[in-house]
Amino acid sequence: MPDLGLLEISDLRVRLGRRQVLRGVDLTIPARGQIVGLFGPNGAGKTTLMRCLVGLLERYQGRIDLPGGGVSYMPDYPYLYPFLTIEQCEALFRSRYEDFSPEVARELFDTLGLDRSRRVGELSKGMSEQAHVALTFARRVPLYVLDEPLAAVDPYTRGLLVDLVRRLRPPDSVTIISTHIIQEVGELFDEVAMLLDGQVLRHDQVADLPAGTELEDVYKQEVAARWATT
Amino acid sequence: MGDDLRIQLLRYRGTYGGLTAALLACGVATAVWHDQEAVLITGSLLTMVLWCFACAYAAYEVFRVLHAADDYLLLSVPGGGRAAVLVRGLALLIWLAVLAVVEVGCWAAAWVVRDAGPSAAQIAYAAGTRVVSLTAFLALAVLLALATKPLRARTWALISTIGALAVLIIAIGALQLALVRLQHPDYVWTMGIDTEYFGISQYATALPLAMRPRDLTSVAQTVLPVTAAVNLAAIGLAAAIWWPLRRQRLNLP
Repeated sequence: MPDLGLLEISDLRVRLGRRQVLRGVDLTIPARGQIVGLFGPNGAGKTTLMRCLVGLLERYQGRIDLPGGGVSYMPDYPYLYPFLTIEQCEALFRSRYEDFSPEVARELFDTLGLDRSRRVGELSKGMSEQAHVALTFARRVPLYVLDEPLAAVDPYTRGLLVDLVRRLRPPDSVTIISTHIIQEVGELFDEVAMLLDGQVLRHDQVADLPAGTELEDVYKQEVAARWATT
Repeated sequence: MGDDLRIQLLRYRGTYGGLTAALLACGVATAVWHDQEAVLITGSLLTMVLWCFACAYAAYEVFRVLHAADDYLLLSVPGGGRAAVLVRGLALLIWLAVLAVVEVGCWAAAWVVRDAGPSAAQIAYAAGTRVVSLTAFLALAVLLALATKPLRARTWALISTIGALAVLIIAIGALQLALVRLQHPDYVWTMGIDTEYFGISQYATALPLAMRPRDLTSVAQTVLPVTAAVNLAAIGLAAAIWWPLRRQRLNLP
C-alpha cells in the first residue's frame, strides 16, 4: 500500500510493437509540491512513461503506484475541439471531474487574459496552449502530467506559463513536465529526471547540483558516459 | 456523460445535418413527383448512397476512437477508452436515428400524397424497428472496434473490422430473410429500395431488405416483428461478448 502522496514507479517495462520503449524505469517522487522535469531526446520514452501514468497505456510490466486521488494530464497535442468555447470546455470539465475548481479556472483565465466566450479554434497557438494548461491546473489533484507544454509557444508565453505552473501547483502534489528546452526552463524544476533509451539515466534534486551547473551539460555528460560504456 | 454526449453530437452536426437535409430532399422529391419514374429511381438511389455513407462513416468513427486514439478530449472521459467508444457510438446512433425518422416521415408523407396513409402506430413502429436495426449495427461496430484492438497494425485491424462486420451483417440479413420466408412464403424480396411498392424496407442491421407480398395492390405491414427480434438478438449478443472483452488491457498510444 503506497503512501498517500508518493509516486512510485518500479521496473516499468513497455513494449510497443517490436520496440522495447521502456526498459525498467525506476522513479520515486514524494508529492510535496515539487515540479519534476522529465528530460530526454525524441524516442527516449517520455511520452510513453507519461501515458502509463495516466492510464492510456495499460499493457506494461512493472508497477506504478500513484498518489491517492486523480491525475490531470495534458498531452503533447491540442485536444480541445476547435468549435467549443473555453466556457463550454470549462463546463465539460466541471461536469466530469469532482476535483475541478471553477474558482481556480476563473482566476487562471483572468490572469491569462483569456476571453471565455471565444472558441478554441479562434485562439492563437500560444493562447490555446494557455487554455489547455489552465484547464489542466484547474483540477486539484495530487499528480499533474504535462507533455511538452512549452514547446510550441513564444518565450513570453513560456515565461507566463512557467510562473503560472509554479504558482498554482498544490503543496501536496507532483507536477511532471517533459521538455526538450531544458536550458530555458531549468529554473522551473525542483527535480530533474533524465531519460535515455527507455531508462532513467539520473534523477536529481536541482538544489543538490553544484552551483552554476547547467542541466543540459549534466545531461550531455551522462549521455557521453553511457555511449562510452556501450 | 451527458455533456460528453452533447459535445459528440455537436461534433458531427455538420456531416449528419447535411445528410439529413439531403435525405429530406430526396424524400420530398419522391413524394411530390411520385408518378415520375426517373425521380423515383434517382431519389431511391441517392437515398441508398446517403445511407451507405452514413452507416460506413459511423462505423469508421467508432473504430477510430480506440485505433487512432488521437482524441484525448473523448478518451479522457471517466471510464477511459471503453466508455469513450460507447459515448461516440451513442452519439452516432442518435444521428442515425434522426436520419431514420426523416426517412420514415417521408415514406408516410408519400402515402398521404396518394390519399392513403399508414396510421400513426404504423409510422412509429416502422421508425422504432429502424432504430433497433441501427442500434444492432453500431453495437456490432463498437464490439469489433474493441475486439480488433489487439491487432498491432491499424490497417489489418480496419480490414478485419470491415470484413467481420460485413459477414455479420449478411448473416443477420440471411437469418431475417429465412425467418420471414418461413412465416410468409408468398413474400418476395429485394435488396435496397423497391420502387414498385411503397412499403418501407426492413433493416438487417444496416442492410435494407425490402420484403413485400407478391400482390402489389395489397397494403401490408412490411416491417415484420421477426426482423426486429433478430436485431434485438444481435444487440444482446454484442453486449454479451462486450462484457468479458472489456477487461482486456488496452494500449492507446
